[in-house]
Amino acid sequence: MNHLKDLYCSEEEDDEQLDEGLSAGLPSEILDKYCISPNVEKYEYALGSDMRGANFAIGKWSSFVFIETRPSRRQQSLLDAILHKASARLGHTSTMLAPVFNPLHVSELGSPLPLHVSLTANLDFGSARELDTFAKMLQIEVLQNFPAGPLDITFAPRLRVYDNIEHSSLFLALEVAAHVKSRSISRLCTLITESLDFCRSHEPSQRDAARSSAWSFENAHMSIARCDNSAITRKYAHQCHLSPAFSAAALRSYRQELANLNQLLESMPLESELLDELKFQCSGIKLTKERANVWAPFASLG
Amino acid sequence: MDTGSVTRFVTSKEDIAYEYELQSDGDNLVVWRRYLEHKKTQENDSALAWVYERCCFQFPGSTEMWLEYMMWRVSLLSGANSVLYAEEFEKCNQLFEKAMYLCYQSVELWELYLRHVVEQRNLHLIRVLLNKALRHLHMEYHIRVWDIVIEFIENAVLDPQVALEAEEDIDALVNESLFNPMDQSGVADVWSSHILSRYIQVAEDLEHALYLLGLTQDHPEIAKAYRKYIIDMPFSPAVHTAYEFHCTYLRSLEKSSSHSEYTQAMAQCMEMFPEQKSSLIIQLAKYYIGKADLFTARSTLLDALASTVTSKSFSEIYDFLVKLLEAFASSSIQQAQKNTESENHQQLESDLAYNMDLLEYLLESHSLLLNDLKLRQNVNDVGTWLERADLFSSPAEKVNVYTDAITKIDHLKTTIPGSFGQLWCCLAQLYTTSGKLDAARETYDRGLRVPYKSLSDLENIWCAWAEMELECGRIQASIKLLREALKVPKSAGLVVDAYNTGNSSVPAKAITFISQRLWTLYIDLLESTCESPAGIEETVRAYEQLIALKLATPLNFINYSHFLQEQGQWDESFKIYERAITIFPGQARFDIWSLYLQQSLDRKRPAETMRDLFEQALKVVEEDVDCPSLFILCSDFEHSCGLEKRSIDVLLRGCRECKSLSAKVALWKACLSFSKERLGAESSRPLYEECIKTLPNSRATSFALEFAETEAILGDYDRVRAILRFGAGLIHPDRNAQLWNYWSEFELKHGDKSTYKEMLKMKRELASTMKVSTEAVSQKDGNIAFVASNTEPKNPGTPPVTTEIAENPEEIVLDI
Repeated sequence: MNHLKDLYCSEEEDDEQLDEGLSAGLPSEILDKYCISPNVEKYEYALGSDMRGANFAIGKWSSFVFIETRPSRRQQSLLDAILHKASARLGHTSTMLAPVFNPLHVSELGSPLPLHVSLTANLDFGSARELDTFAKMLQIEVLQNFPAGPLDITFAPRLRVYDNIEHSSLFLALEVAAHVKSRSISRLCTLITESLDFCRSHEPSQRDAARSSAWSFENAHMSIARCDNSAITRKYAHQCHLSPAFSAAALRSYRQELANLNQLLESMPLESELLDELKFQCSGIKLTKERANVWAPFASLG
Repeated sequence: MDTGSVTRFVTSKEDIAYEYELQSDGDNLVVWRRYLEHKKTQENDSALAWVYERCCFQFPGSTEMWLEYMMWRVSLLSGANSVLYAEEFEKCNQLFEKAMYLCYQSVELWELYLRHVVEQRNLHLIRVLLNKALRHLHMEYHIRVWDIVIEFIENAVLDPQVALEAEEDIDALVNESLFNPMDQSGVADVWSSHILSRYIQVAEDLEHALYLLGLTQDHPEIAKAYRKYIIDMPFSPAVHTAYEFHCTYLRSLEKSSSHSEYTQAMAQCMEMFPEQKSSLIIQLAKYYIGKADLFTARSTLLDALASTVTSKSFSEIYDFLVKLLEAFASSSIQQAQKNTESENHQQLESDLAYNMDLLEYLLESHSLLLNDLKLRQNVNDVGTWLERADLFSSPAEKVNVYTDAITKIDHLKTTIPGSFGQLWCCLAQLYTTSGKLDAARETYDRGLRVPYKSLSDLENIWCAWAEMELECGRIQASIKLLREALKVPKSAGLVVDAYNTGNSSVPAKAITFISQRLWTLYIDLLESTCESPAGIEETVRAYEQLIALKLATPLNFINYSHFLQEQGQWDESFKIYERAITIFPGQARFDIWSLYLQQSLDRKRPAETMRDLFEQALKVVEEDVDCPSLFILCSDFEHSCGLEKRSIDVLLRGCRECKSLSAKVALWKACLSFSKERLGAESSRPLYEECIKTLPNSRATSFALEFAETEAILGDYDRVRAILRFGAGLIHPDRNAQLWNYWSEFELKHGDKSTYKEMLKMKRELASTMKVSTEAVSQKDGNIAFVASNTEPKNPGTPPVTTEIAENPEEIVLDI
């Protein structure tokens, strides 16, 4: 009977279904199956003798864990407004040095993109099997050892500029609220670490260890914009290139400039109403595996 | 010996003589035989029987005598009805009993007796006699006795159709099982099964014995024997299939065993005969119907319908399920009319309603169920998914189908290039038509992240996305998309090589920049928007990049040139033509030259430049390209410059250099016509002569006629006659009617009787001497003509021989 009931529905249900089917946007199963584009640049490098600058590691299986959100139209416009305001604020420093951020909630070609709160740095695994085990273990850990029900992600009323580990890109980010970091994010990070310890058959590589140490749950944030070619990063790269001996001094100067930017942003608090509209709920975390995202849900309340 | 018998049967003198002889020599079998022979001639059966009996009792141990006597007795009853003549048969039986008592070791007598009893259809007696025979005869003769009984069982007792017919009628099965339960076990042939069960133990042909046992409907016995000989032991039938025996076993278990044993045997059967799964499923469903368990029968069929992977199984199960539901509906309605008790009535109504709903669903969703089947067969078949989407009308349902498709298809296993990309486009199109442009963009964006093997998948998505943006009036967004798609990597050649040699390991995304389709769209968009110098520059850059990537076609070059012309950059546009001419060979080069020269003429470029261009252009004739139009264009150009002789010389050059006959003919026509028109009729004389000599006969005749007409205009009638004579000799008069008509008219107008006669004489001579026309023969269907060689003779000193090329529409060139 239930089977038949499923096949037939009332007209009202029909309309609802139609609305739901399309207004929810592209189903998340599809988004998760093909989340990472093929890295075609590697074929250029692989064929040439010069491997420098290749942003990939041969014989490594990488992943990282994150909380994902798909901003609504309203949230997208709020993020645009924040970005606009922040750009104006950062422009006060010096028009030459002010980074020009591009929003991350929309691609350069105009397609909406999900945003995420990272829970780890990039993780390298020695084999596909290790990565599989990690994914399975993490799913179990999250299901069993994380409080049931959806998790509210709220943000602190300030923006911050972060950079990547290579100091080549800058990110404008919303800080995750302190209580979320201390209660939930830290717990999730512990579960991730435990899962990693369970599956890894070798000590993390130097590169992996450096990345992990640079990342901490206390810095949990959601990047909303990115700048790949700012004057600050260019200047740093230039100084390092000219005199590698003085790279420490260059780094100090670079850090100082970042601190200056953050200081400017300190004076631009975000309104609580705005933050209320940007908060979101998640009912699980995700990790990347090959081209796809793997979903690790929290236990449900019911 | 009683006196009554003597008076009745001893009637002749010969009888008396034999009786006397027997009195004296009664132990002599020869005398008895002679007496019997004598009695046989009298045709008195009673008298003969009287003598036989006396003889048999005289020689009680003579098997031969008894056999002869009993055979004669049995022959008397041959064809007689054993019921009507029961008394006679009984008498015979008693005689047999006497004989068997005396000759119990005679297998022939036992066989005769058994056959006699079989003839009577006396089952009890057959069984008793079989037992007796087996008891008295030696083991080696048992099989002879068994054969008689088994033959009788096979031919007279069992009917192979009974078992089959009982299974056919689903309506009756539903009606009887669900509404009128009664004993459906049927009548078992216990007599046969009992005998066959014993026979199986000694039978040489076990398969046949088991088959016969299967026909008896004695299910417990069948199940027992089959379990022993088929299930527990290796069994390989030769005449019937193993599946038939297992089916019989299942039928027997159904009637005689527990549910668990039946279901276990059924599961085993399904495992053993996967190709028969649908039949077994139907059998299982019938089993449940027989147990009045419609619910399980239905769910068994529905489950099978949802898991079967062959079309045959699907249609069998589907048809049976539909029939079952129809039968149930029909029986339920009849039952409801009979049964008016409220409780049962309500239950019946509820069941009926559910089954009717299910039936309706099955009938309505037949296409969908078939589509399910196709997807079970190959989930990576994009075409099937697209067909599935067409089965639904609402966008939400279609989205679900596309989502299923994208998540279930393994893009590396799709077989049709471009199809998976098309699937993404269909999904995006759905969002576009519903006004959800962001979702459409998101779809295209995700679709581009798939590591396709084939470039056409990516082309489909990029083009669809760009077209969507165009439809939304966002032309710059379209351009931006395509610019991104066509971003050329630093080591483009290396990437293309990696893709070509990578054996599908390199995704097509790496070589998107070599997509001709995307470049064409990109350039079209750029051209349509380039109003600013920057736009023009970008378009030029795009064209140049296309050329640098060696992707540009002749059409791209022509478009590029036209684009520059539209911008007023004529010199640049001519340079593009010149670049194209250096790149493309043969026919393409000729096409480009045609456009280039025409545009150069239109632009009135300096005469020397034009001459230079024509000189280069006419070299395409060396590449075996037919280019009469270029020669004519060049000739027209020289004519326009006032150089008449030069214009004719150009055409003459064309006539000599062009290889194809049609080009030659066209050029000769132009050459002769322009020569007469521009230089006067006399100037055409040497041209006509050359033309007629070089063209094949079939084509030369029309020029000969033209030549004659020209000479007639010039008034040189002798030359006219000479030319006509020459032209007439080229081909058979029947095929040269125009020339002969003209000649006839000419002679009537300008000749006399003798010239006319001479003409007719020549026509007759030609008609008789040119009977065999090799050209005509070669033109017949199926014949192949020799083809003139294109190569020069090897000996350079030898003058070229003018070859008459026969025109043959079916001519082929063998390039070996």
